[in-house]
Amino acid sequence: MSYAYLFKYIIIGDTGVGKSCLLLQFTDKRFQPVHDLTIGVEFGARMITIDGKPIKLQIWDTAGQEAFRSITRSYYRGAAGALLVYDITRRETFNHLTTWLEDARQHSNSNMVIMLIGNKSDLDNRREVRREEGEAFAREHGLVFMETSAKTAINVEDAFINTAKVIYEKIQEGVFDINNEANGIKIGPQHSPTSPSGLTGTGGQGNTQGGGCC
Amino acid sequence: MATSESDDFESADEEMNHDIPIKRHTEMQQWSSPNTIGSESDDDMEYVPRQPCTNVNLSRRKEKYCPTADTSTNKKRVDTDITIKDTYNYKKHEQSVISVDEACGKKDENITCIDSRKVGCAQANTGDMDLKVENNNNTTLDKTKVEKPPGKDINMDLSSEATVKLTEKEQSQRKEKKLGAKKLGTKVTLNSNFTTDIDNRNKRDIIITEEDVCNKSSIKDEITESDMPEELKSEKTFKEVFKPEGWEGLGDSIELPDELTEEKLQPVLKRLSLVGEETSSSSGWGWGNWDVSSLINTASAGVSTLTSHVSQGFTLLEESMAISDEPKSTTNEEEEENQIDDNKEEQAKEQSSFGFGNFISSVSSITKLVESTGSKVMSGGLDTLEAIGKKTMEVLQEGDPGLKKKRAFFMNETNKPNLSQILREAKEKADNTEKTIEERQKMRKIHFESLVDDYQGLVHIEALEMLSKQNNIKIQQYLSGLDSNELNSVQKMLEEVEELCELGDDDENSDETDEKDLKYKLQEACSDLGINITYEKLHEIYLDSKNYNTSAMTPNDQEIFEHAISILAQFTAFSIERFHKTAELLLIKEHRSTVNETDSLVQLTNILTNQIGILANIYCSALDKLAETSDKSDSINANITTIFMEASNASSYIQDAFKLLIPIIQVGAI
Repeated sequence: MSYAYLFKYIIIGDTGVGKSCLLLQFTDKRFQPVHDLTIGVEFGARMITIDGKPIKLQIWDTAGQEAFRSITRSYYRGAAGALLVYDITRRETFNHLTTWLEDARQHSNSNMVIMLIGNKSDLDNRREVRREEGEAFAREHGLVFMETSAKTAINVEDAFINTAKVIYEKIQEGVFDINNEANGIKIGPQHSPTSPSGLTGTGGQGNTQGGGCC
Repeated sequence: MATSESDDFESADEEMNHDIPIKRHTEMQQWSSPNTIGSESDDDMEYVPRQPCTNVNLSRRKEKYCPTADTSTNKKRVDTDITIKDTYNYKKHEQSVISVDEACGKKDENITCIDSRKVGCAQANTGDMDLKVENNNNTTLDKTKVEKPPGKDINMDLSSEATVKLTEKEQSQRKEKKLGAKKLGTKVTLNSNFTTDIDNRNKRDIIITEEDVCNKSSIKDEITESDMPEELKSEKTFKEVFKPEGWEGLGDSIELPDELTEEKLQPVLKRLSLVGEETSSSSGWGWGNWDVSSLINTASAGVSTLTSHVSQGFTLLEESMAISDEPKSTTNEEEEENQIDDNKEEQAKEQSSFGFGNFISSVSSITKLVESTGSKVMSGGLDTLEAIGKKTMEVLQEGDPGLKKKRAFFMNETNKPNLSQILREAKEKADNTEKTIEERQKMRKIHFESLVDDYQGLVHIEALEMLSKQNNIKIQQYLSGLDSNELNSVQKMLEEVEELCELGDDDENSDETDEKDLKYKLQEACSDLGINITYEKLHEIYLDSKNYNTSAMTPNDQEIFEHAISILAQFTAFSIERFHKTAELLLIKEHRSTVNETDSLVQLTNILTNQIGILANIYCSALDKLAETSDKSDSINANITTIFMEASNASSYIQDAFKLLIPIIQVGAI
């Protein structure tokens, strides 16, 4: 329960690309084929371990609907990481990435780590966006790229944990000022030499909580 | 607000004292104002402090000043020369002055809708110069006799008197050419005369105030009597000061038969003599006779009682300005009047020698006595008061035209620590104090804030804070784009919303609420929100707790205690979560209805906080029963206390969350 760091994540992208499902898969390890539309923002949290340190990921799962756009923008501030999600079976969700990226860059701190995620990789037969296109876009904009499937859980955990690793490295490099909460990083209350190592579970299987509330 | 305003006045007070020794300097500023009249009238609405004088004027003044510098012991001389020079100057700029004047009048109409007649006059002046004085005198006199709204009287009187008196003065100038006689101070005196006269008549024809006490009381009268919009009034006062000088320029080229003018002047003279009689006893008006600082104290005291608007403060100051001039002006008038008759005959001769063009005049000449007493006192008094006004304006409006920022600032003073931060800190504090894992886990179970966090209450409130802040910024941005009238009404509206959001302490009947009531009440309260949201989950939590407590098998006291804290935390967290969702849904709603939303949310907040109390009572009465039979009643009682304490914490978290909703309601109202 006690953590060394807390990272704030946001998940953004068009409606219906599977943002809430990714979160549910990551926090609860389950998949819900039919999901209610997210209102504003929902939250999930999970403990992971990086470099032997317990890290709590607090994930803000935003609504993709255009109507909520102005509301969700106000949640970008203070996020350390962002998952920018598109649906590989819907070309238009890929086409909108530029807008999302501009939005994210404009409303968050410049150090925010952005992970580009092509979701629904299990639906390869209906694919409209090639993997190479996603990679190219990520390269062009300096993002980390992954294709995931919230349904089969492929790469879901890695997507979240890899993002956390990048953030953690940036902390080590001193890029992030961890004392500035605007960077989306909070130091845990128990982050001290006496912090018991056995507190959290193994390999990011720590405490799961929240998520799945709608 | 009141404090800051009185601060401003104090600084103005100081400023005033500084200004007294260098009186002449400010005199010049006053005198030079006609040249800047155009900008003055443009700025009228905003009350921007005016520039001291134009370059033209400055250079002229220097020119004139230097040669006479060696006579500096006789200040009046210097001033006189300057005055004459400046008059020439006006003549040259006559045309522009007129047009400005007209514009001024028109603007007035737009702003105040009071003064259509004045506009008419101003236009008549530009078109038909010969008739100008006549018109003005007539209107003035009529108006003075008939009871009219003060606003009209002021302007009309002002115009007419300005013309008449200036005429007198111009003539006396010519007359005393040899002496280099005319003096700046005298002109200033005239200005103040207008103001005074106007005030006198407006305020129930009180013309005389011989003593300071009277002055003060009359200020108060004015304050209470001012039944027209404050801004309007103050605006006029400014105009009054500048108007006469604009007219003077016009007067230069006006030609009127002497008899005609005299006839017109007669009522004015009567009035003057009336004033003179009443003030005859006090012949020498020095600084001591009108206690400046006490006047100002009165003014500022009045201001601080009038809490609402900064502009009101200005009005007061300006009104007090007009009043304080009263005693001097009356003296001056008296003296002036005495000389008018003596000098009438001489006028005709003098006119030609000056090449000033022909002047309306029947009266003229002011003696040295007038100069020495009247001018000194008058100009000094006016300067002082003007300095106060100016300084106040400057201080208040520094980098803040229209005082928009300041108004917004006064509205937006709720910089409290974040609720989420408080919660987090409380939680962390608890985390840090525990020692072993088991102990920590165990303690965590009963730590309210940690449990609220577990139920995501904390992160919801953080998000709600972000929304609230952002919408507050939106409101402020919107306000900063408004002009002062709109700003006032919008701010009033926002304040009304805030007032509607005051949570009453109505705990009535809270104890009788059963579960059915809660469900029904929550539904009912939600129905007016106009959004698709349900607070049913809170009812479920309540049912949970009820089931737990009515179950046949009662666990031990510690379990009850833990359950109590957990339920309270859960209830709080979901209340906050619901408020957050409500905020989000309200923000994307197309047609907002502020009153219904406010009403619903206030109801909901009251229901939820009451319910917290009910929950606490359920657990505590269960614990109470145990305590009666148990041997560790002390620890049970301590737990009961803790439950009540956390319940009150829970209530205040819910109420604080509700307060975060206020900007979201307000945004919908804009």
